[in-house]
Amino acid sequence: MNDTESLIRAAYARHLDEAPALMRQPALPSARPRIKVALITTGAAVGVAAVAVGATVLLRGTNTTQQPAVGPSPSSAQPTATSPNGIDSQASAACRAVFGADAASASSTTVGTVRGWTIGPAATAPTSPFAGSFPGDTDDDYAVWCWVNQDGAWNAYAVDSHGTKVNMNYHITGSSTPPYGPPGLP
Amino acid sequence: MTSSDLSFESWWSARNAAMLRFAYALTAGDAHRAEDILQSAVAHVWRKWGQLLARQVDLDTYMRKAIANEHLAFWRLKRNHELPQESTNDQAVASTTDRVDDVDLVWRALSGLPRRHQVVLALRFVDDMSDAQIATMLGISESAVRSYSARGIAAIRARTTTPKPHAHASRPKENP
Repeated sequence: MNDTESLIRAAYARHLDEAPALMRQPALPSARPRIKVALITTGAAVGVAAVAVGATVLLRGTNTTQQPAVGPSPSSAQPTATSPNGIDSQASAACRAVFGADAASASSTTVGTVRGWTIGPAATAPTSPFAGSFPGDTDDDYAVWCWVNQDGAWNAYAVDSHGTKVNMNYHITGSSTPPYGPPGLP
Repeated sequence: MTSSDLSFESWWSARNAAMLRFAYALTAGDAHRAEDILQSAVAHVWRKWGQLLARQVDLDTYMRKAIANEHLAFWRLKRNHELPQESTNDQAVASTTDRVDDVDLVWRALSGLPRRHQVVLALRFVDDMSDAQIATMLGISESAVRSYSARGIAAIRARTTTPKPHAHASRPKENP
């Protein structure tokens, strides 16, 4: 083994033990999802959103105000949603605590809403792939929808009051304006 | 562990530390990225759990492959978009103190490698897999594995043999 290979082994050995302390455990699903969240671009999202609305897509939750699939700007329909620089400082602080400057928008919600985030048209059984999120929290606990700027895409996350994040596996690209609120529906 | 009675939760509780380490190794210490990759891989394996048990698939290998694929897919996705380029490894090294040693330089260099090189090196040096095992897992030839490995090592060697930060820490002599 040459010196470089020895150094590579040493680098992994030195740093990998820190992984469990630095990383959060992934949220284990508790219900079997049937519909895969689609990766969409903004251009396609407009059409998809129209179809989704036309099909009366269900969004099951406790107190969520449903947002359009791609909402480039805040609307009065969701007064708690705001940008990190806006008035909802609690939501902004929660997102920034986890994502730092990459947090692009934040809006308040509840753990129950995240757990109940449901995809699928009304004609099919709705699914809740995030039903097992935030173990230890109650449905009424505070949570935040965060949209995060990561390498040119807007990625949707939910964060609870302990800083635990859940990747909603939902991305929007091609828009310079960050979405906000709950992730849209495919 | 391929018992048909095995629950995903019990398997995960036994294996999550190793998978955390693997995801962390792939991203060379980017904990946020590693969490995202792992979350997606967990969701993927969980969906297929029944099939995997029925087919008696090697669960560790399958999970590692899922993590590696998520790593590669994530970066394939991002590469298609206009991005403000993140700091390069060399820039990061230059901004550190003179306490950076060779091992840390290598660790930082790993983060700047192409993703396939990262995957191959992690499988080789973290999980001690052979070229043949890596080739089978990734669905590529052994020669491709050797090529990725050699090029990755060469890139790290090149980056770690350049002048180190502490070589510049002392004040340069001024001309009289």
